[in-house]
Order: sequence, then C-alpha cells, then structure tokens
Amino acid sequence: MKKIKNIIVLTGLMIAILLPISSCDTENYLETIDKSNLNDATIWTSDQNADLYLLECYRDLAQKSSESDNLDNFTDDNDAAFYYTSWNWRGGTVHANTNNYSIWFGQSGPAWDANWPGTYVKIRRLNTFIQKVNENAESLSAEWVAQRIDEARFLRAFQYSELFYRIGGLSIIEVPQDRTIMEEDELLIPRSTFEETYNYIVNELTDIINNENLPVKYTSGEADAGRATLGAALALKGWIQLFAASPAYNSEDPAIPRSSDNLQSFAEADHSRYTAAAETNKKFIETFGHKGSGEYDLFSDMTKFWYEANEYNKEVIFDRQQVAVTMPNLFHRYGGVVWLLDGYMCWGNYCPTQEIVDQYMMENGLPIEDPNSGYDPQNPYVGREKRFYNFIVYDGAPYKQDWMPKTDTVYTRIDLVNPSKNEIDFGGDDVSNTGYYLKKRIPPNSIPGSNTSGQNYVYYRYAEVLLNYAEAQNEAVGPDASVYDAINYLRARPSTNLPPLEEGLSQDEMREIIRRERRVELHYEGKRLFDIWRWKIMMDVMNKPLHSMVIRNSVPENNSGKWIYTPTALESHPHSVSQKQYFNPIPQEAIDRNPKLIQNWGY
Amino acid sequence: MKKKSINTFLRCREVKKVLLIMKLTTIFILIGLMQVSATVYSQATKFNFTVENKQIIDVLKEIEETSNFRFFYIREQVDVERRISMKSHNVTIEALLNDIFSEEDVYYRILEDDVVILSPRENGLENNSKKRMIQQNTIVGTVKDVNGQPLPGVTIVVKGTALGTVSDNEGGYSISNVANNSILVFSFVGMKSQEIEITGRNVINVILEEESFVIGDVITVGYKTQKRTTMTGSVSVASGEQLSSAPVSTVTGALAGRMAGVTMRSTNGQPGYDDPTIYIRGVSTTGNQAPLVVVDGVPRSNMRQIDPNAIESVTILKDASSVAPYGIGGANGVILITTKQGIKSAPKLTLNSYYGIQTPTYTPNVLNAVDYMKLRNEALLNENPGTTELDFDQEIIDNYANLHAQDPDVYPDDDPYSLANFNTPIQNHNLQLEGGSDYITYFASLGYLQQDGLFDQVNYNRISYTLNTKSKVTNSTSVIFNIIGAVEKYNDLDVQTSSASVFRDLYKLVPTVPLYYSNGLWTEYGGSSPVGAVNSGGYSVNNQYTILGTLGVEQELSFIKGLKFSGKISWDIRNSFEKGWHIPFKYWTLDTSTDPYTFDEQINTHWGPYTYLNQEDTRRLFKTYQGVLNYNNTFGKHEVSGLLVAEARETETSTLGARRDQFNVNVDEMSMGPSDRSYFDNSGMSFESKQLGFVYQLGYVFDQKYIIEATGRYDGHYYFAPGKRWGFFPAFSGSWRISEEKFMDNIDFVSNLKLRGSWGKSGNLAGSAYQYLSGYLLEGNRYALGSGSMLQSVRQTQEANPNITWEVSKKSNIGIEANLWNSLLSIELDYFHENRSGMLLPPNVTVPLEYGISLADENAGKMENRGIDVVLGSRYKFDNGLSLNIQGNLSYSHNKMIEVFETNATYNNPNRRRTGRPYGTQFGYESLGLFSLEDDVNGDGIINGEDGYDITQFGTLRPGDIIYKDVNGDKVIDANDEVEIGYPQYPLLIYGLNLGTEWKGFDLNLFFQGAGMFSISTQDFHTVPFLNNNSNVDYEYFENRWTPDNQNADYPRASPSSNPNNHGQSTDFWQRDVNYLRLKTVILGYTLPEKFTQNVGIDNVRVYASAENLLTISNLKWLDPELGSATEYPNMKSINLGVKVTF
Repeated sequence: MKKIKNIIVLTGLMIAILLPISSCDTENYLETIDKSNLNDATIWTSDQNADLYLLECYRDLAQKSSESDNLDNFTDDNDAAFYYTSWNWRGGTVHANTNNYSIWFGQSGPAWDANWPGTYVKIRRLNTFIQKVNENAESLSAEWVAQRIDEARFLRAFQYSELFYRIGGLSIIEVPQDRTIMEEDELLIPRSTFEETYNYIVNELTDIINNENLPVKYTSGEADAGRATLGAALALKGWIQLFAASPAYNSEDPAIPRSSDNLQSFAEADHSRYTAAAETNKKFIETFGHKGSGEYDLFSDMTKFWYEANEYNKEVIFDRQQVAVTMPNLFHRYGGVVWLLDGYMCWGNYCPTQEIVDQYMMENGLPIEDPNSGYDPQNPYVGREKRFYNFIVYDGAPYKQDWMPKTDTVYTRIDLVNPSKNEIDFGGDDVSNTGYYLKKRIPPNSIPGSNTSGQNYVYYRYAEVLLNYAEAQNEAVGPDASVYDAINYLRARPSTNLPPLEEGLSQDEMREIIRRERRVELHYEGKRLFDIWRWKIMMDVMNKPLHSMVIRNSVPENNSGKWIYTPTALESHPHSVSQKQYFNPIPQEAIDRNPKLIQNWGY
Repeated sequence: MKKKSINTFLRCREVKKVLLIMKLTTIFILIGLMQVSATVYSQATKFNFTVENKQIIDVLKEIEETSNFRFFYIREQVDVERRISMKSHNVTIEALLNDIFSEEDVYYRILEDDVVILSPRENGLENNSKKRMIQQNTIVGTVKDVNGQPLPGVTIVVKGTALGTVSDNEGGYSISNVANNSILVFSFVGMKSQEIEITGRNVINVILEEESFVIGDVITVGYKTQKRTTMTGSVSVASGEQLSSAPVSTVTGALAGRMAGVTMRSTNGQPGYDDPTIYIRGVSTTGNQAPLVVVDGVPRSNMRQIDPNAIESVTILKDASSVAPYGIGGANGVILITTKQGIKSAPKLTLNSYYGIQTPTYTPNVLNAVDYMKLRNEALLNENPGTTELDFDQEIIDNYANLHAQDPDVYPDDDPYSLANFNTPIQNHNLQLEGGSDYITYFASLGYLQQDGLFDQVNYNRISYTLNTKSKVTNSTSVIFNIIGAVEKYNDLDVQTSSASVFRDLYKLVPTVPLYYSNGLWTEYGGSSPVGAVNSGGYSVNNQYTILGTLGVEQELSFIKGLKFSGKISWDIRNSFEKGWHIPFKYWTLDTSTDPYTFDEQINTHWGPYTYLNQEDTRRLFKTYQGVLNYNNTFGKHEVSGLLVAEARETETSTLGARRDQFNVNVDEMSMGPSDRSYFDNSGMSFESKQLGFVYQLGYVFDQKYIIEATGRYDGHYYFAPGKRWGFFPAFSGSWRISEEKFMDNIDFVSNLKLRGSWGKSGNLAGSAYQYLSGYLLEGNRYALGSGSMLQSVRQTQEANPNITWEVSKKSNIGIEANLWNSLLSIELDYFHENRSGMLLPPNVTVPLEYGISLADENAGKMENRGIDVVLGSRYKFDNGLSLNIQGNLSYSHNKMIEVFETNATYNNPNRRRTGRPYGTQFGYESLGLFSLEDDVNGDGIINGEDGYDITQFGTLRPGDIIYKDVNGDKVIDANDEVEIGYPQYPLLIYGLNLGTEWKGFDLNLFFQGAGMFSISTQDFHTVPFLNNNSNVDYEYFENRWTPDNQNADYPRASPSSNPNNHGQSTDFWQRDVNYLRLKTVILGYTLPEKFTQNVGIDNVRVYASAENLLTISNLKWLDPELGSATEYPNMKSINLGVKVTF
C-alpha cells in the first residue's frame, strides 16, 4: 500500500519537475503569436489586403462635424462659449511655445483640425502606402495600382493643402523616412517656400487629373463612393489656386510682411494667378459641371442636402464618411437649439452673430442695407430670403424636425412674464449668447445628442466651385457674363430662389456681392476663416465686438408694450487678434527637433 | 541583563566531511532544483533505537546524524555523559527523549526548525517522571522567559476544558485533575503562546518566547523560508495578527504605513476601487512602478481578493538580495503574502465580525444660493466694471430667505450633497476553522465583506474563502492543496455615469436650481441632472470570480540529509463578467406660466437618449509550474544552504463583449433587446503570455556569526525579440552578527546587533509585448465607404525596436539591526541606493516631429534613487502587567533622472531641464502674487502697457489676476518661463507610528501614518468658480478670494470665464507642499476573562471598537491630503465595532 503511494507521489513529482524543463528548447517555449498584427507579406500581396491600409488613410480625414469647436467659431460668424480654444484665439492668445496644449494652436491646431504633427502622421502613412505599393506592384493588379496610387496622391495633396492654408510653406516629404539608413540631411527637411509648396500641391493634382485613373464621380449606391475622384482633384486644385491668388499672399502688400524666406507669401505678386484659378474652375464647370457632362450640378433643395438619403448627390464633390452609432456624426451634440419642447438638447455652441444674420438678404434679393430692400430693424425677421428661414433660428421661429412630435417655437427674447429657457444669456450657460441658433446641417431625424446620425461631412460642393469661378474670373477679367451666370445660377437654386443680379455692376461691386454670396451660401461650413485670411480682412472683422440681438418689451412687467430689437455688442468676449494670426505658428517642439525649420512671422 | 541564552549553548555537532558538500553540490546541479521547508517535522519523524551502555552525548549525535534535529544545551547543566541503555521502536522524538532522560531532571523543548533545547528541571520540584502512568494528576511547573526570568500572570489553560490557572509571582503554577493526554496552553501578552502535550509528565516548565527577536523566528522570503537571525537582506514583515487586529477590508488597507519603505497613496475612495498605488522605497523608474505581488509562493496580483483574516504574514522584500529570486519582476520590490496553514490541534473555530459606519474624511462645502449669486455678480462686475447686465437682481439676493420660503421651486436652497449618503455601513464577517492531526492539517476560512457607497445602489461585496490543507502522504512526503477563492461584486450607478462622476457633478450643480422640487420631482441644470443619473434604474456591475488553486508536493530526499524537493502547480482562474445597463436619465422642467406650476417630464437626450445593455466577459487563466530543490545542513559551525528553482508561467486571456441598443422594453437581458441587427455590436480578443526562470541561491553561515549568500535568476520573457529575452540577475549579500562575537560577551545590554549589506541586479518588465515587431495592427470598425457598413483597416502603430528589453536595477543596501536592553529599544536602519538603467523611454525627440510615426521605446533612461528606512521600536512590561510598545518607521527616498530624452528647449534651459531632477517634477510659471488695484494705474480696469505692465500673459489682465514672472525677460509668458514648482506629486517622506498598550485584558492601539515632501495642485472645482458651465465653488475659495477689500488673497478674483485664461495655467500659485499626519487606526479591545467564557465553552472573546482615519493633521484644511482632490470619490473614515470569538 505504502509503496503504491510512494510511486504515485514520485510520479507526480517527476511530472512537476519535467513539465517546465522538458521543453528544453526554452526559446521556443517563449514564442507566442501577436494575433492583432499583420506583416508586410500579407498586406502588400493582394489588392484586397492593401486596401485595408488605404482605408486607414481615408479615416485620417478629419471628422470636422464631430467637434465642439468649429472653424466658424474663429470668425465673426459665430460666438461659442468661453471654454473653447476659439475663445483664446479670438483674444489673441496664440503661442508656438506653450505648456498648455488645450490652447488653440498649441500644437498648431487642435487635435481634430489640420495641425503640424498630426498632418505628418497622415503624410507618412500615405508615403508608406505609395512606397509599398510601388515595391510590390507585380503582385498587385495594374489597374488597382494605378487607381489607388492616384487616390493616395490626392489624399496626400489634400492633407498638405489643409496644413498649407494654416502654416504656409511646408516641409515636403514624399517618402517614409527611415532613421536607420537615412542621414541627417534626409531626416531634417527644411520648409519649402510658399510658392514651392503651392506648386507641389497643384502639380500633384494636375498629374492626377491628367492621369485620368480616377472616376469623375461616384454616385449613391456605388460601393466605392467616398473615394477620391477626378472631380475632387479638380475642385481642390481650383480652390487652392484661388486661395493662393488672393491678396493675403499674392499682392504687393501681403498679410505678413514679405521676407527673404518667402514662406508666407509668393516672392512676387502675379495677378495672372487669378486667371489660372478661373481656368481650373471653369474647366470643372464645363467638363464635369452643369455646362459639361452634368455629373456635378446644384442640388435643388439645400434643406435636404445633408440628409443621409441624399449622400453623394450631384452637388457633393468630396466628403468625409460618417456612420450612425459606429462612426457617428455628432454635429447636433454640440450646437443647435438648446431647449426644445422643454427638453435640454445640446451644448448650444452654434450661435450665429448679428453680423452673419445681417448678411442674409431680403426675399427680393437686396441686402438689408439697401434702402429699397424693405428691411425693418424693429421687425427684422420679416421678408428675408429663404436661406435665412431654412438655416437660422431666431426669436419666435417655429422649429420642427422629423424626430419631434410637434412644432416648437423658440424664444430668445428677455421675457419676464413668460421666461423661456432659450432666453439669451450672453455666454453664461449653454443657451444662445447671441439670440440666434443654427439649424443648418443639424440632422433632422436624429435626436440631438444622440449618436444616430450618419450624415457625411462635405468638404467641397459644387456651389463652391461656382463661387470660386465667379471670384477668380471677376478678379482676372472683371464681371463678365460668365460671372453673372455662375452667381445667378446659384441664386436660382429653388431652395434659395433669389432674383438674378442687376446688370452693369463694377468689378468692386461684383466682388462685394460675390463675397457676401459666398459668406451666406457657405455659412457654417468651415470656410469663412480661410476667406477672412486670404482676403486680408481678419484684422478688420475680428478686432471689434460681435453683436447679439437683445429683445425686450418696453413694458417688461406685463408685456403690454412693444418688443424692442436692440443689436448689442458682446463686450465681454474679448477680440484682439494680431497680424501674426494670419498664420498659425509651427509648434516650438517641431523646431526644437528640427532646427532647420523657420518659425512663422510674429511667433 | 543576561545575554541571549543561545550563546552559551554548546554545539555537539561535529564537522561533516567536505566530501559530502561536494557531493551535494554536484547533485544540486544535476537535479537542478531545491527548496527549504520549515515544516512540522518532529511529529512525523519516527525513531528506532537500540542503545547499550552508551553516553547520552553519543545518542544525541546519532539522532542528529539520522534526522534534522539539533540539540542545544549547557554541559554544566545537563549530564550528557551519563550512560544509558534503552530500546525504542517507531517512537517520536518526544517519546525518545522521555526515554533518554527518564531518570533525569532534564526538560526538553522542540523549537521550530527542529532545534531541541535541553535544560535542567527546576530544583525543589518533585521528580515525578515515574508517575506518568497515573490517569489524573497534578501538573506543576514554572514559566519563564528566554532570559530565565520568571513570568507572573501567565494564563495556563487545559485545552478544551474549563481548567486553568495563572502563574504566581515566581512564575510557578499548579493545576490539579489533569488528564494525562491533555494539552496545556500557556499564553501571555507579548509572548508567543505555547501548547504543550502533557504526555504523562507531572512537571512542565515552560519558556515563553517574545513575539519578536526570538530564536527560530522564521519568515517567508523568495521561494523559501529563512531564519530571521541569519538573514542578509532587507525585508519588512507584518504578521497576520497585526493586519487583522484592525478592521480593514483589504490587505493594502492594513499595510499602509506599517512597514518602513512602503508608500501607499490612495487615489479613490469608492468601495472596491480603493486600492492604493504602492511604491516600495519610493519611485525609481519612469516605467512600471508597481511591486510584484506573490501569494503563497506564486506571483499573483490578488491582494484585494484575500481576506486579511486569512493571512499569516506579509513580507516586503526590498533590497537586491531579497528580490533577486524574482528576476525580471523584482526591481520594484516584492510583496509576499502567506496565507494561514493549519496547525496540529483539535479543531479551533474563530469568528471575527465587525460592523462600521463610514463617513467621508472631507466633504465639499459648496456655496449656498445667496453667496453663489453674489459671487456671480461680482465676477461679471470684475470683468465688465460698471455693467448693468448682472445675472441676479440685488433685490432677489437680499430678500432670498423670504422668497425661498414663499416659492422654493423658483428660489431653492438645497444642499446638492444631500443626494449622497455620507454615513454608509461596512461590515465584515470571517469564520475560520483550523486544526489537524498527524496526517493532515487544515485551515479553512470563509469571509464576507459588504461595503456601501455614496449612493444607494453603489456597493462592493466580497465572499472570500480559503482552504489550505497539508497531508503527510508518507513519512517523507507532504502534499499541499490550497484554494483561495473570491466572488466579488462591484456595483455602481448607471453605466452611462459613475459615482465619482456624479459626485463631481454635484460641484457643477448651480445652487439657484433646486435638486428636487417641492413635490419631490427632480430638476436639471444645463441638461444634467445628478438625481436623474442616480435614479435612472440603470446600473453597472462588475462580477469578479477568482480561484487561486495550488497543488504542491514536498518530498524529503532521504538519500542526502537536508535535501528536499518541492513542486508546485498553480492554475489560477480570474474571470470577470461586466454588465452595464443604461436607462435614459429623466428630469422635470418647471413651467411657471401656469398656476399651479406644471412640471414636464423630460429625457436627457444628451447622454444616452436610449436604453442599452453592454456585457463583457473576460476569462483569464494563469498557470505556474515550480520545481524547487532545497538543501540545508549544518556541519559543526558551518551551515550550508542551497536552493534551485525552475519556474514556468503562462497566461491566457480572452474577452467577449456584446451590446444592444434601443431596447423596446426595460428588461436588462441581451435576448430582450431589439431584433434589428443594426442595434447589435460585439467584440472579442485573446492573447497569451509566457515566462520562464531559473533561480539559484547559495548560503553559508559560520558559527551563526558570519553569513554570506549568493542569489540569482536567469529569466526569459515573451515580450522581447528572440535573443533579447533572457537576462541574468545576480545578487550577493552578507551579514555579521556582531552580538555573537566574544568581545560582546560582556556588553549585556545588547541582545542583538547585526550588520548587513547587499548588492545585486534585478529587472523590471516595463512597456508592452511585441514592441520588437514592426507589424500592422488590424482593427475593426475603422471606416466606411459607399452605403456605409464599417470596414477593417490596418495601420502601423509605431516603428519597432528589435533591441527592446527589460530595465535593469542595480541596488545596494547597508543595514544595521540592533536589539538593546531586551527590546526596550530595537533599531533597524537601512541605507539604500539604486541605479536604474535601460528604462524604457520614447525616443521621439531624437527624430523630427515630421517623422510621422511614433518610435517604440528604447532602453535609454537612467535614474538614481537613494534613501533610508528607519524602524525604531520599544516595548516594556511593568510588574503590574501593563505592557507598552511603540514602533515608529520612517522612509525617505529621493530620485533623480540621470538620462532621459528631452528636447533642447528644456535641456538647455536650467529652469526647465528634466535631466537631473526627480521624476515627476512639476513645472509651471512662477507667480508673483495677484495684481492689485494700484497696478491699474489709469483706472480703466485693465492692466496693460498703459499702466506700465508690458508683459503679455494670458488674455486681458485685471486686478486680482495672477502675476507671472517673466523669467527670460522676453515680455511674453510662455513655456520658456516655466520653472520647477514644488515637489513631485508622490511623497518623498513617509512615516508611521504605532503605539500599543495592554493591561488586564484591555488593549489599545494607535496607529499614525503620515507623509510629507510632495506637492499637489489645488486648482479644481473647489477653488475655481464657474469652472465649467457656471459650476459652483467651495467656501474655501469664497472666503479667501481676491476682492478690492482682500487684495492679499489666496485665490484670484472671480471671473465668469476663469479657466482658459490667466488663472488656468500650470503655476506655483496653485501648488501646495503637503505634509500630513493621520490617525489611521485606533483600536480599543477587551479580552474577556477566560473564567467567564470557558464556562460556556468559549476559549477566547475579544470585543473591540476601532476607528479609521479618525483624525488628520494637515496643512491643507479643506481636502484630503492623501487623495489630493475634492472632486474624486472621497476617502472614508469609519467607526467600527467588532468581536472575535474563538471556540
């Protein structure tokens, strides 16, 4: 009995010793598989797998809809709450050198926007894709390679362009850097001049357009919708040409004093750059647009333009994809009407200022300043153009979205008898600081704050091409018929329905009309900041108080009097931008790590 | 005083042959495994002896040759030259000794470690050894301490009966009518109690040992146990008794401040989540700073799952020689937890229960409505002097009490913190059963802990159980089977929020809005409703299931004396099941346009406007295989030990998650969710890990005086690339027991004096797995094209570093231990120095920012850490039985980063340089106080160049704003102006003080814990008004803020937009250097006299009252200095009542 016990115990003992030791190949014992990682061999040997890589590059497109602080908050069009980065920027607090990265432009832009470090991460990803695909071209299909390389080049040009607007001349890097084999010269890349950077982006886009490896447009239902197209490349080229031709960079007196570096403007002004911009935008209209194949055209009803059901409609040129729940558009979490049907809805960050409200024209097509317009400052919301009613929520505006069981009326007036939760509060709380809310781009069938909106963010749409063309052509040759055509075509859109412009405008008058039209049409689409930069008007428009609309009854105790409309300066919101803010700084950390980089003027 | 008795004992062992040592060494290497075991050996070893006319001394030698037993005696006292004849068959050592000394007045005692002490029986007592066959007899004897001093007042009880007595002034006692198979239990405060079987004797003299500094005090160290006297390393030990004397729910709670060199920082007071951050000997690395936790010999990070009542001891290993057996895991120190094992005795049942009430140590004191309104108006006036657009009418403010009385719905005055429960119960019950026979010993424990939280549905409960058994399978074989299990439930609020977040939100609640309307419905502010969040009906529950199972075998390898093998397999299961249920938060809006008012129910659409259920199931299996070969033998004055360990560890983890959105019915079951698949989501992943290590240890002790040890581990880990996986971590140590030297013989007051030192290497596994691979991470749900379903993508996450490996720590330690005047003063002092190299740091600054991909960490960092640990103790017992003991510990450690990556911008600026400063040094702007009204020279309310202040700070400056020092003189305050602001956030200095006294059954224990030399920022909701959406603020701010009448203030002016501008910077203005001393625990206990309890069959009853965190002395008056935040879930103080009953 005892012997058996001994045998059992000793056997157990031997097993216990031998188990770890028996695998004498101790190195092998430590081998494990990292299941979440794939390697070069699997990725670059099939079209399908390599597509997974490029998809990440598409994901790199900024989700500009899902941020609490939008680019429009950096302009005179909007007034959001004080704790956002835009507040600091408007107060002139911009440092290259800060230990507080929550301050706007601490890293030359907040995380979601085009900033220096973030852009170069995206660029490297694209450079790697281009390099790896070229190296492995024989294991991939030729057609796939041709198309995807051009997509990647478009995305790279797009990412560079986004940083270009904000910084000026950039370090142009076209291959993934490798510190194990590269010399310092290949690793530390100085900034190219403004002109070199501009030429690089335009040439890349021109190549893509000439290659014709991309389709002109994807329409709804196509599996590849959302990928880069010839339309996107041409539209981007036309816009960037107009941007660079603008007075801030292409005049005798650029926004930032010219220096020998030529990093922030062209070395010499050249008015013919407008001609090039006009030509490109004209090419778009006449080949892809309503005067050409018609693949791109205006969408008839702007109130439905952003509906998910209308994704990839004729007007959409390039957009960032969003999907309900998994990759939701959160635009309606941060702004819109704060209180609806007595329920709290959102953070109220989209508060149009009196300045932008005054830009919306009258139904008759005249600006409100025009004595013939019929505008009544004590009845300001009567007889305005359709876009105003479609997109601006004002005191007494009816409000109805698909998810709402009934229509609500929004009151922002100061009413002591029947206080409204939406009463203007000048910035203390979430509710409107200005007396207005935005309705534009708010998804109609998704409860505010929810993650159930999959509405795409549209970077470029056909209306902008028309406006780009009109502006460039007016600058290049003056208000010819094609300029009228472009603007009138836009004003004739059924959901806008403004009468055509009066004939015989001077170039300057036409410029003002185009700029106003552009500001209203592209209101809160992240465009205004670039316009006040390139038009060199930032110092004028951003260094004065913005205005709200205060509405009070003349007999506040019982509302028996008249409602008085008083545009009131938002004095407590300091605006003191300085000239240097025509550009963002390069983060000091970038300069510390690459001494060849030269900082922008004023920083 | 008399010297320690062991000095005068003669050793009868002869020197063994060198040959044997060589033979053993060879065998160690061949088999490759060793282990020491301190088992109960005496009962298991049986002897067959036939002796004809031999001297006793020779018989003893023979016993020593054939067993582990060693004999100590004084030749003058014990006649070992007497010749005896005897014949014994299969008897225990005790029976054998009874035979040997049957005619003699010799008393023997078997100590741990199989040491047998022989001493003469007292004179004057009758030699009754012949009468041992008498069934009922009278036992007499004396009780003395190890120094031979008689001990009066010792309780002597016949186990399992009501019989008992107390020793007299001469230590003598006498008990009648004792059955000769009884066991006598000797107990005395401050002494180890002893149980002695009568086995027919009439005279039983006993020497009681003190609880510390005793011969054979054995402590657990890496892979073995070791006698404290011959230890060379620096370790701290706490006994389970110490740990469970105070009612604490977790081991960490019990350890804080008790042992020198162990820093605990609480970060959160939420039940179940209140595990502190632990550092041993400060912070020595930028990487992983957590010490290794080892439970019953197996690395397991399960401190929370073990009931402190089930713990035998906790050992902290600090220096190189102690941590060396843990190789890659040891550099941050090791916490060894040993659970209780049964002892050979009749079953003993112990019940330990306590019930307590917990209250936050500090509660926020937020402004009431009137003060809030005043401050709000003041802020607006500060920003826009003379403005008439104020938020609140002065009339309303002045008349608020009346208005409130008339219409509390519109003019509320609620305390938002009334939503939280500030008196919550905690209860813990533990039942233990232990005992054993010759063949099996067992320890079983069942514990239940329930701790309630700030809100009704928030609590933590734990059922923990332990079953430890040890069976003697053969004379030389034992099998160990241990199970430690726990079932835990962490309950929290709706998954969309958390207690901590609601607690913080209460700061954000504006007091001009009620918490509840007068009808009991609740309101909101800014769409947020803490009441709605608490009352939603949603929940978040985390169930943790832990089973730590160990099967071990110990085998004496009888072919070589002193050689033992032990093997251990542990398969630990640690599963968790989490379930989160969200129901949209409700609130009511008030419509004042109707009479009476109407209340409209609303759903908070902003946070989760629809119901959802989320579940996650995680399964983890941890496998450990250990083989240990242990050798321990003594050859005359030479004591040799050896240890070889092979250990393999593997883990497997897998998770599976599921979620459904938009439930139609409020039933929290996955299957009850919507059937539309677009509302489904799921996830899952798995990974494994592996480690393999080989440990050796060689020890040599000469004459109990000179001790040297060499230890090391060869360790491999799967984290790293082939070729980079294996590391060797050797350590050497030695000690010199000066008190054992001849020249100390006349220095009577020194009972122990030891000098020790060590040097060695250990490793730290930092970073993460596979950083050597340049792979592409495959991820799901990354982007969509076309009509929209989400697609996978791959991306490179970082540039690989094929050379990556562990950090190396080189530690040196010098220590001195002394025990003077018989424990009236005991001292332990250690100086340590550590150099870390190969710390994993991201080398990103070495490439331009445009490089565009982050780099895998490199083993490039170097850091130095040095400091001291001091323990001072004293104990004294007065003649009347009053005993006092005091123990203080103090640790100071100071680190310095020798090499880290930093940019030129910081490196070249001596104010900003990180290199050469302690890790975690805080940087910010130097403040020069607040602008005063006088600084606004032109009186326009703004301070700028027109007032002669031409430095650009942040935004528009006004009186009451912070003035920053323009350190570099460029007229702009930016990062170039930052300087060091105070200490790091972790304390450099920690200390503890334990005061204990016992008298006539009463015991009182005060335990203080403190820390100093750390700095925290006080900038948070409590000191910054309107921080987020008009949030409320603490009276701490209100009463100490800048106003024109209080210009020399602690806090800046009120501003409606405080944070992002001038006040929101990192600056020394908000930093506070913190020092605190906390009365961590106070316990008052009373042990009922046994004459009462034994009548009802109870051995022992102790009742106690205790308090945790009762008192804090700190220079920060308004927040918990340990927590450092007023918006975190608060730390708790508690008052408890408990009882411990042993049957």
